[in-house]
Amino acid sequence: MLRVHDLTRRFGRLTALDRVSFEVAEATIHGLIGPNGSGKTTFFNLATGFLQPNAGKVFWGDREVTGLAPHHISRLGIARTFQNTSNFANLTLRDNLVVASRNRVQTSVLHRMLHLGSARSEEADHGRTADAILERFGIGHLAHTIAADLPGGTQKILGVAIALATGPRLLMLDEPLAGLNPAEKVQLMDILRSIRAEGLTLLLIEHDMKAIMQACDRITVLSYGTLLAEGSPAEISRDPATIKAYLGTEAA
Amino acid sequence: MFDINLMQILINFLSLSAFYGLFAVGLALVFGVMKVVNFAHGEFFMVGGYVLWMLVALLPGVPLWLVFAGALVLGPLVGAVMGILVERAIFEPTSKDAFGGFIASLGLSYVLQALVVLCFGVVSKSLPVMIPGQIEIFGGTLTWQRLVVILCGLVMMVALWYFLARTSGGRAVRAASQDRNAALLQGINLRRVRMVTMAIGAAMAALSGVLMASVINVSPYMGLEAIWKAFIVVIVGGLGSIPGAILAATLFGLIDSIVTTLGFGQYVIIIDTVIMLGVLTFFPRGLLGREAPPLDQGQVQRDPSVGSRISGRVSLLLTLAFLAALAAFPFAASAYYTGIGVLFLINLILVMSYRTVTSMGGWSFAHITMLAIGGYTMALLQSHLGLSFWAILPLSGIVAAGLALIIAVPVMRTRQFYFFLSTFAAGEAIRQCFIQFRGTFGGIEGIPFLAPPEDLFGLSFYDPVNFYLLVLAICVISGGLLYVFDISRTGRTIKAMASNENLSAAVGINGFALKMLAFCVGSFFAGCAGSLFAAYNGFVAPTDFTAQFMFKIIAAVIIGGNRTFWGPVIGLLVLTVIEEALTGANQLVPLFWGLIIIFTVLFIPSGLEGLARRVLTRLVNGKSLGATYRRGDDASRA
Ligand SMILES: Nc1ncnc2c1ncn2[C@@H]1O[C@H](COP(=O)(O)OP(=O)(O)OP(=O)(O)O)[C@@H](O)[C@H]1O
Ligand SMILES: [Mg+2]
Repeated sequence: MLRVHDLTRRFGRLTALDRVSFEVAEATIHGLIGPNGSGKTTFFNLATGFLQPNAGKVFWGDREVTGLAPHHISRLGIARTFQNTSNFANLTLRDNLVVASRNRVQTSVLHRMLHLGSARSEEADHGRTADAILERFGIGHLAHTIAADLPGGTQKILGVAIALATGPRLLMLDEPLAGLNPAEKVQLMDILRSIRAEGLTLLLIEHDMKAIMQACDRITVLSYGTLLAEGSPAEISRDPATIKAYLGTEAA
Repeated sequence: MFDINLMQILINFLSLSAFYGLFAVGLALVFGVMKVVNFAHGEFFMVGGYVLWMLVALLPGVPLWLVFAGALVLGPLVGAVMGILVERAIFEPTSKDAFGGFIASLGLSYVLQALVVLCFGVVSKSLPVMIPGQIEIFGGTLTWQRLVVILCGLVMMVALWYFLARTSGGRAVRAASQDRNAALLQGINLRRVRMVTMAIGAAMAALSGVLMASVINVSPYMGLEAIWKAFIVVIVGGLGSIPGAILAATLFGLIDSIVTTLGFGQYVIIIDTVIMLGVLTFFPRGLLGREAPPLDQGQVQRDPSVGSRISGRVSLLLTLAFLAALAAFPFAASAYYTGIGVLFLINLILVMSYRTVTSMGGWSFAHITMLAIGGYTMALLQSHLGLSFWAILPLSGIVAAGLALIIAVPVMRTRQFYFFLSTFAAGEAIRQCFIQFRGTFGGIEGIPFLAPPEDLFGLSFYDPVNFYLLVLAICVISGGLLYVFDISRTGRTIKAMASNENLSAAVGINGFALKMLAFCVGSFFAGCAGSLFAAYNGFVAPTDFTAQFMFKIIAAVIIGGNRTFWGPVIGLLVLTVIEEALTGANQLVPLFWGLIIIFTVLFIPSGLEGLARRVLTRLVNGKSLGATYRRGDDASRA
């Protein structure tokens, strides 16, 4: 479904990603792990058009999407979250999701600019979808709260809900569990599994090994920008290179 | 036909590059460390000029070269002290909000200009040549004065390089400009680094002021004229990049020297701007600007006034009361105040449409240029084609919007400061076009003898009251349309996009197109206001579309706040009242405007309107609302 080939990105002298190739299969949960600074977020930025690769290609299905603008890639059905700030801080939760429904807009820009009836009824429709998604994530009662007033964990969950509101086929989440309490973690992982069951594909960057090992169908390991290992959770947990890479950073 | 004197081009090239380099590198250095553009950089330059002028005036018997040497030492010292004061008073308190710091420095620049006008008068002072004499080298003329400029430029560059590369203080400055957090981790005293940086930057500006003072005349506005060049240089070089600034200074030194030596000096501003727009088209971050990491959003600030709202009915009542007052005004006021009222309403269209432009996150400096475009469209169509005012009114808006589109293509991919600076440069270049292309635009005198609108429903617009009511009607229609746009889904998407560009791109929003849209919509109404302005004045002239006018529009939106339409309206009222209260002491107006801007940025970041709304809400609800709090992005980093 999403396939990258020899993806390379340098920042000055630092090679943040070095000839990385792998593929994310449809309707799976795919984990992307690696020590801090190993190039995971850079990979997200390259795949979603926020950064241009120095070499290599990105394919979405049969189509090459390397070099497309981020909003263009999003409209093709790839949604992503950001590690840090993944919401519109000054909007209510509901409006956050409505803004993110851009990919489902059908009315013309003139209708939307002049606030005509058809644009308003379409928006009401998106509002209902937004409410349903908020309910699903267990934050429906907060629909009219301003995002910035939420605790960090809830904001993280909101980020995932926003990504889902774009109506994607692939969800790329950058450390969705960081900052969540244990109960929230369990709840979010359950939701992610149910999303996968509906046929969506997920690519997760995560440092929480337990959650990754339980939830993922397949795992890719990066270290210093290179692909270290790839396989099922069982294979990865036995992989000597991966163990060494993680122990290496912990010892440092 | 041209007697191309290569040697002269070379000499001019060296002296221009040295001056541009000296002046612009300070700006780039300050940006690198503080991540804020110091608009008052030009005023440090001006202070250098006045230091020299004062020394000349105070020491009549002393030989000029000695006075000059003294000023070369004293000027930078005064500049450095001012730089440190400005850092402590303005940039340090606003270090979390780079844009606020920039706006405050804009206010400061007007305050300093006004203070100099108060102390030394508005008339420019000419100085004798400090070091008379010249030498001929292979047919080129090199005055000693220019040689000093070249030498000082070279010496300062080498000294700066030595400081940055070889001393521990310089290494701290470089570390701080590369990565603030890493610098903090290394135990670098950021406060001291910032102060040192400001001192050096300001000293360099003052030094170039001393050097240039006897070449260009000393005047309160010499900084404003010079800062234009520094902006172009740092934009083309890449904001914050010192090698970039030097490269661009050399580039523009060469271009300007060729252009002036060939005898086209008056077109320099226009040519340079075209080059800048061309460079930005291919290098949106300038030639050597570093690519900002895509996640570098900085801190997301919660707007303290979100969530506190006056009910729709109260707001509607207030609007109706305000409109009724505006409609009754000309019947109660004298002819003089009716005239003030007309200008106020035209300004009202400007600030409301400017708010729409700012809602996309870009503070344009070309809004008054759009007013001018509308005015000239009106003048040209009326005097050449004899079109009726009613046909010209929408056309002038369309022409302004079209021009906005052309400027926006290269400029809109840039962010925040680039946008402000490049619209500043583009606006000045367009104003220069009006001045230089005399055949079409009538030069500095402009185009006179414009007729007011043709009669409508038997109403004659030679009558000032009718004209006032016409402007009021157009103002209400414009406000209504802008309001609909603002509350529409597109308008709200634009505001959301401005608050988090990365996320909006990730959810499929085409930020580039939306920014263009907001810029064009705002410019359309400014263009319409332009044809009203021209019809009211009966002429258009480039002297009406000044930087100070632009400052007034920006100040209105900053002082009032830009979250609702009330903000700019309140801001404009405050500014107009100050202006009217100070008739007879006009030179004090920018002083007060500037002080209010600085005060607002430092103490009421959401503007008077936000403050009023919070107070009202608190009175109504009897409870206090959550104070501002900031959420550190780094908190969630593992
Ligand atoms: N825009 C940029 N400019 C310069 N260097 C960058 C940029 N983005 C990332 N890097 C560098 O590239 C390397 C990889 O960074 P990346 O953010 O991809 O790591 P990561 O695997 O996501 O780490 P973490 O687990 O800490 O989020 C790091 O050394 C980082 O400093
Ligand atoms: Mg990361």
